[in-house]
Amino acid sequence: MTLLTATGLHKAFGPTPALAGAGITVDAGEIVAIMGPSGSGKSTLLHCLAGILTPDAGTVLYRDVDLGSLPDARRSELRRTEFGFVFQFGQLVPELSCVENVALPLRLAGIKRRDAEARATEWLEKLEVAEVAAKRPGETSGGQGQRVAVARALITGPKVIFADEPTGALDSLNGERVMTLFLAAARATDAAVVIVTHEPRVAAYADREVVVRDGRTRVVEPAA
Amino acid sequence: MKGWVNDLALGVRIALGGGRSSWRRLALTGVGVGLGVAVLLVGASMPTAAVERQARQDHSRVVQGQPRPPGAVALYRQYAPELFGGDEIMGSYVVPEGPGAPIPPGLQRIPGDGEIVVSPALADLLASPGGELLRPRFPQRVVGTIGQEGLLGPNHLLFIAGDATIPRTDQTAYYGFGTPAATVTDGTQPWYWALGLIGAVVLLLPVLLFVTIGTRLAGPERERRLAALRLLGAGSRQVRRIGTGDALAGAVAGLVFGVGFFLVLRAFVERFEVRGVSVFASDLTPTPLLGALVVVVVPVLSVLTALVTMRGSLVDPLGVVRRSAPVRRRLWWRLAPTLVGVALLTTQAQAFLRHPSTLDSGPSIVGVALLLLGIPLLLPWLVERSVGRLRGGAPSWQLAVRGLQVDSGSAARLVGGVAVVLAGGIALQTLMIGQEAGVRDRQYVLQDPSRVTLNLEGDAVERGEDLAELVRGTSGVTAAAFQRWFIARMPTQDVLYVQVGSCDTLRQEARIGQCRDGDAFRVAGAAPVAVLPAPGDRVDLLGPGPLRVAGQWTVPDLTAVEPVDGDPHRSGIVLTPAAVRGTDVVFQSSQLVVRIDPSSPDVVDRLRAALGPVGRQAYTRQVTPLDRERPAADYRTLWRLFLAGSLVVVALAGASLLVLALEQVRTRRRPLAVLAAGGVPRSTLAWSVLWQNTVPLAVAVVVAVVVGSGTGLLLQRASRTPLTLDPTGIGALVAGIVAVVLLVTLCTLPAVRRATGATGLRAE
Repeated sequence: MTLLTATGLHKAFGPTPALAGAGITVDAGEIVAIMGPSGSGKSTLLHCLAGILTPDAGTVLYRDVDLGSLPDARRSELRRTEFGFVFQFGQLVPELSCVENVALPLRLAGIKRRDAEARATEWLEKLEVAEVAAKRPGETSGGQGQRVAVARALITGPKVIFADEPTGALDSLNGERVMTLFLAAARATDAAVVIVTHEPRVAAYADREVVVRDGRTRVVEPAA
Repeated sequence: MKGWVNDLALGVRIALGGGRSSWRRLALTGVGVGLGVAVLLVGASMPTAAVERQARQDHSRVVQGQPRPPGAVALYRQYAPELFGGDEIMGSYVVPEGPGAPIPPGLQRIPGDGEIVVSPALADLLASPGGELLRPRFPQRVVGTIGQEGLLGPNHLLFIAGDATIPRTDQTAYYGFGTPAATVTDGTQPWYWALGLIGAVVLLLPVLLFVTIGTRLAGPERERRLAALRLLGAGSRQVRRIGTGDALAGAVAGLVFGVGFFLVLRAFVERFEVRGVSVFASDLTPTPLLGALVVVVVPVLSVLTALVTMRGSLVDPLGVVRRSAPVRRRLWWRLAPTLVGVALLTTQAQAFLRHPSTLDSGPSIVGVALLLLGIPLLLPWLVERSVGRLRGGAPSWQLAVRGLQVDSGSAARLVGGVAVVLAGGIALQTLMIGQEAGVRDRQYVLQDPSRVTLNLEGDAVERGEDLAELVRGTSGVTAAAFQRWFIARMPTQDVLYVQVGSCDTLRQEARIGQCRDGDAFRVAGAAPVAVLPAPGDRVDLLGPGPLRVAGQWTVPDLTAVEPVDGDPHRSGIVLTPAAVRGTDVVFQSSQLVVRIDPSSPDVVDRLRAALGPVGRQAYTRQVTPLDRERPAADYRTLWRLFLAGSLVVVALAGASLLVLALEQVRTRRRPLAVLAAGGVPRSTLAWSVLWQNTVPLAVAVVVAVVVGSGTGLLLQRASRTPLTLDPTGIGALVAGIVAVVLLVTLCTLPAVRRATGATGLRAE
């Protein structure tokens, strides 16, 4: 089942075009890697797919609903309930402890603190970082922080997880560990994953690749 | 040495050379520090203003009854102050003895008979629509304006009129101007100045705090810039010197802005008046010493603050790291100033009770200053402890509280300044309530607001009955009577004031039934204060002028009556005119006693306008309903001045709070953007900013209310005024501060909106 369909996306920042007719589809439970060199527009494509940015032209359909037609509040709600996010760095609230960071999406959904933090602890255990639950992000290693971020992205049971260079700030060993745990957890919840990366090593985890160059997309079929 | 200078210069260049954001930050620091500098410069100008004013006052002063110096020519002068609409109009009528008579300061020549010179402020008042009732009192031809050297201030209401009818006696002869005299004080002055000084402490203390906070705010940005320099090979000491230059640039910008603000204020200063005192623009000039002190202290304070801030962190080539975990704040030394302040104010109250005639305001002011100084010292500790205990709550609350638990110092320091203003305001307000009520009770409780007495002189005495008839036609006048007084000395040597007037006049004093001209009455309450002479007794008649015996008078038959107000202690003799006709009675004074409706607006001014043609020969210094409010109004004026100062300081605090909030949003841009990307509503983030501002402020408000009310009550106790608090006033002050915080949060929202955009997510 197709969850996301983007067609003819155009987006410019001032005189600089970032997307020039890009398009992509994402099916349920599928892992898609968006690749491309720096400045090619891959992050912009991800932001448009997630409803963070509104394209200048083109449409993004999530379950046949045009994200561009939704008001900001509705798009925020969608991101809170249906989507999850993992970024390269600086994504955790530095003042909150790790367990509070993971519990935050549930708290925003109105779940009581105690219950939210209990579920957050379970997710931290699944991602093998239960020992940092009470620590603040600044007191954890890069790999630990990234796994905490993955736990936060997965805790609401999202249908699509957007990851922008999730291992970009990690060494290869930690990157491997994060990707393994991340994708295993995503597959366990049948969530689709859209990963922006410029590392072929990370893209290798994906079911298929989409290459972005000069704002346009090209689908690379998986090797048979 | 050259290296030092180069490093400092490099710091300045770095502060200025960062493009638009650098200039914006510099402008913000400049405005913040500049407002403080402007307030400090006004404070530094106060001695000049006081000295210049005193010099002009001394220059205009005259001494009555001086012996004639050899060859001197007299200026005959009668002082004739007026009251109009609650304002005091000072002035005199003059006539020269001949050529060479002394010319009053500020005048080119002595006005001739029927001429008048007025101060610019009085000229404006006379020309204004509001001066309509005043113009009849000055029918003379205006021939000039009194110059600055003859005025105490630009709003000084003063006239000098020529009048050839002035009695030419030793008592009215003056041979020169410019005699220094002992300082004249009234009962309200020490406390008035004490209040003023406390107000200055309250306003200047936060100003210094904000100067340091303004410098601290730029700290993280400065350290990041310096880290980049370390990467290029700058040593740690060199980096400190460069940082000093960087901080110096902000301080110098603050000085430039401050001088600018001060000059703007100076241009408008002549429009303001405090307690009837206005200041010439030329008087608002900082004394060289204090001015230099401001110019030196502000940059030094900024640089020291920057250096102290840098001590807590290590500027490394790979970035800035905290030197150590934040040290848990200790209470004992923070509490010390508060305890000393309380002790001082308490002992002051005890000393005052032992010696109630004097109140040395020095220890009180030091006590107040220490109590207020204690607030910004206590607040970081209190905020840290308070937020440390907070748990749970909505996500916005949790975000804010956790943020404060990590670093509450900046916010606590900032609200410390606001708390000082608030506490000082509450203390002053509490104290003023007591003083205002005290002044009213002390001075005017016995005044009858429905009665105005006008003294008549010269020709006006002969026309007394006609003038009474004239004023009876004035709107708001319910009755008018002409009365005269003479003084008799009884064999017991007691002096008796005897009133003479028509039956209607006497009925204003005593319950007189049947009456005809020639009747005489003995007024005595149940417990009369004086033993009155009996009919047939012969008593000495005294006067005029120095009390000498002018003849004798035989007391006629008296009809006993009671005082009209039933006062049991009142006693005296009142007569109708025919009862003294043909005797040697010498009248000491002649008066118009006018009954007015005090609720009728401007009735006293209308009454004086009706008597305008009589000029100086009918005058009153009696307190009118409006005048009764004057001392209380003085306190209100001081209060308004303080509020204006508070407004500046709170605006300064608001600006600093805004800069702090924007700085927090900027440094947290990425987490905020990630949260927004994850669907966290912007309202949640906005609320978290609000809570982050509000929680320290709530602690500050509680501390300010406690310290302010406590200080006010201690001062009330010291001055033996009734202990009273003004919840409405305190509420208004708190509401004002809360409104500022809400406004600051509102102003922060666009920055939050920008920070939560997709650009904050970019990692490349």
